[in-house]
Amino acid sequence: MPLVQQILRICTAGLALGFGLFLVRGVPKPTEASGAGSNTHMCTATPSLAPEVTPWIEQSAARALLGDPNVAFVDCRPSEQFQSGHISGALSLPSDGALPSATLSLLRGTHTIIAYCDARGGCESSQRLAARLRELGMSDVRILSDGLPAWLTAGYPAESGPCRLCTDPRSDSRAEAQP
Amino acid sequence: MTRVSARAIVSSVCCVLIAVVFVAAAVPKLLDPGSFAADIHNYRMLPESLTGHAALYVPALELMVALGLLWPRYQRGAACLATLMLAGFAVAMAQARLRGIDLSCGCFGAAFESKVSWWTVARSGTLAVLSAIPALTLRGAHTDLLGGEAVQGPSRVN
Repeated sequence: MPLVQQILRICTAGLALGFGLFLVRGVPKPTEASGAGSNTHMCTATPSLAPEVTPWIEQSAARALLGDPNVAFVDCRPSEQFQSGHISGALSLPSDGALPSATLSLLRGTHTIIAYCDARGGCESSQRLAARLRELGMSDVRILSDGLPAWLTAGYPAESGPCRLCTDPRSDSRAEAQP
Repeated sequence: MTRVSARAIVSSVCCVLIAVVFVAAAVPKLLDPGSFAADIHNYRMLPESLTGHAALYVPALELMVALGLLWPRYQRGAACLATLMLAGFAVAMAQARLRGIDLSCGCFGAAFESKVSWWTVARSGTLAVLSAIPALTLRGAHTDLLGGEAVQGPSRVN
């Protein structure tokens, strides 16, 4: 059988199967993820209902919370990137680095933590950091939808320079404090 | 006694390997297309209106390609498609890395998520090369090592 004919038949079979699924279940929406570990986009959900999944928060909702003393913004990117630009008042907490006890104390004094990174996508760094913070007993951790790029695009408050409130992890011997 | 060429053996092994990978990739996505749609959305390559459709048709095509790879009559065509798809996946992941998008690759469904990295790009690229082997070596012939019909072509039997 000619190569083109083989390819066309396989593609036709694939399209037929896909169309059959479309007829059976309709077009899946990206937001209706249900698998374990998926990035569920549910900014209005109550975190305690699904503690294993980190809720997201939309840019406008996060902007409204900026300046609230009960809300902390956490930048999950490397500290060099943090210094070049970050959300005003955010704490620097690289997702793969140590968790300085001073920063954790600040976070424990807040009700809601909003983690963000440099990604417009699923932001694995924020997911990892949120999971670590949840393990430390902080239940209301959310991830900023579309991250810092969308924040800057919207013209929301941002600043540059080192984290004024953070403790250098290298000088903090009590890193990775337990709850 | 019939002697099977090394080229036919290598091609068949590659076909089986790629077919297993495609089945493992397709089934979880077909069972949970919502998660896969979210993964596709995170790549920021397709318009939002197309991500849901892609979440249905891509795994369906993966499954058909896997079946084709195991069916000698369609092996070469399936291998060509597999090469194109895997190269496309590698390009999608590479552009995500270059754009700084931090996301799960969505390669094997939500239950086996792994972060997109240069390792996942290399993995897809390697699989693309492996699937190109039968696409190139099965030219004008089929191999029947997988139980298919006997066919013509000098590359199969020496």
